[in-house]
Amino acid sequence: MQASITGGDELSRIERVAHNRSGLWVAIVITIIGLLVFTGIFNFVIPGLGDNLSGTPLILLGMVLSLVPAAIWLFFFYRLDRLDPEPKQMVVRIFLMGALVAAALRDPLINGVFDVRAWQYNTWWGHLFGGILIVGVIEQFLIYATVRYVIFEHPEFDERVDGVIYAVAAGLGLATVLNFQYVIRSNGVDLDIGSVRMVINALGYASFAGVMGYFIGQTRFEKTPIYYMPGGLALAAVLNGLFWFLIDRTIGGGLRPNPWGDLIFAAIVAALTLALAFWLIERANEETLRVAHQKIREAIGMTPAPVPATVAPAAVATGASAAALGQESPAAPAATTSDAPAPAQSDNDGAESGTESGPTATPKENAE
Amino acid sequence: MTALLARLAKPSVTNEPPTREELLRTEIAVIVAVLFALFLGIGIRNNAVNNQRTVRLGDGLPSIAVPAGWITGQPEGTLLYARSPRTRSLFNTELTVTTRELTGEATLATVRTGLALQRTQDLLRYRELEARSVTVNGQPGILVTYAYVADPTRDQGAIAPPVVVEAQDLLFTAGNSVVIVTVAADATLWDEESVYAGLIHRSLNVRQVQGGGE
Repeated sequence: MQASITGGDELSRIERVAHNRSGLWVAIVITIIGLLVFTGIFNFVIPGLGDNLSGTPLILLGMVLSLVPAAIWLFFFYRLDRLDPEPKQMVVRIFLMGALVAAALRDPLINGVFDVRAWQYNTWWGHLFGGILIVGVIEQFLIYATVRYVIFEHPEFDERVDGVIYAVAAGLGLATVLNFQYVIRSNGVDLDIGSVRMVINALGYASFAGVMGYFIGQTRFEKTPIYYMPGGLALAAVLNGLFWFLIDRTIGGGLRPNPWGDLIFAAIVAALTLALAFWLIERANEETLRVAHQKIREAIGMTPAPVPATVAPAAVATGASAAALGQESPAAPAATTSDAPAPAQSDNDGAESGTESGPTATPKENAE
Repeated sequence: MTALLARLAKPSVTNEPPTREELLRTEIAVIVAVLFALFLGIGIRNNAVNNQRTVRLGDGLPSIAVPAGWITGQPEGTLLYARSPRTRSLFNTELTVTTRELTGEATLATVRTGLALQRTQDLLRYRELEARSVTVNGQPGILVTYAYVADPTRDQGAIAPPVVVEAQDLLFTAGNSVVIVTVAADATLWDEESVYAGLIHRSLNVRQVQGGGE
């Protein structure tokens, strides 16, 4: 009995982990459009806002503005993922922790210990490789550490996609801290061009964190090779370094700064990387479910129930598998109407065969 | 590519979650990877800091190394002027090379005294901090460290506060003239910016003389 319930719990866990959220695709698109609209408002609708301000009021306005890209992102993600959203307080908690960790450690490490500003822009290779090996690695490690030590083992982290959602929240925390620092260092900013810069930060860090979050999600729910998570961090760091290298080089190469080009570039990068992350998650979810069902079929095949001559063993296995998943199957009626009890209907059978069936198995539309 | 994506999407053939030991192993692997990347980053940093290009100062004068990312020029009255465009201060770290003809009974010591007098007139709150005897390419030289107050944003009409600057004049004879190599940086950043002074001085083979302090 216990084994059967455990098997059911296991299947329930796997289905939870492999849950696809179609709303997230829409959320990415709407969020990016929302961020572009945000910059459009400050550049075309109210371009003069802040012209008459200086000193502390301008800094305060800039700091409030710094929060807006993250707020837009989190709001749309929450609203559009409303069928099964993460708890608001957890997402906000990760965002704040990401910001605190970045504020406490990013600058002291990057500009204190490694003094990157003094040498990174001396050469193109120092710019690129310093941006990857030091800036990218430290920033992505801070995001990883935030998710790993704040939410990773929390019961709310129960789906593969949660890795992306929480890592993006931590990345936005980091981006917001950079925006704050930008405003304070510049003694307030032009709100039009400043808003573009803030959105570029948010898009950039959210997308690299999304890549990072994909690997965190996998590591949480899968047995991964030893290089898997370090490889994910390295990939995110490379994207991070490459992104800022390409954006900065439009200035460093002697060209005029082109904030609108940078903004479009950042929007495309964010859309592509997050779309890739979600696509990979969907593939991973499909694979997870396929393996789960294959395992059930194999387990049943190893301990075949007494089957009447009129029912083919394969049909019993398929029917039992579907029954274990709570699904209807063309073969299921044949099995259940037979003299032999189907594994899903018998606790003892489930216990003996070790199948992952049980009362907690839930229907799943996208199951096999 | 398909295999890579498949491996990326499903790294395990089972659906089993990792054990505590496996998570710990992953964590250690991440930390090792981060430390390794930072170690490589330090190598990049050292190369970038020491990356230089050599500038010829003229006939009978030595060549001098300039950090690769610095902007160079030759304003009137100088042999070379170079400036770091990325200094974390309103006062960009800079290098200036000038010469003084050795006429009459002038010596390196008299030129150094005259230069100090000129600095007191040209620079605000000039204060000499240290002077040491050195050798430059085997020839005697003097390294003078001093400080003053600069107002780098004043010309642009900005209202940023003035900056305390720390600088070093390296004086040495070359042919019939004294070459003066001046490196100046924001005093609060002197420790980190002095790597560039070290790079410039190394290219001139500057050596301290034992007990050479004045």
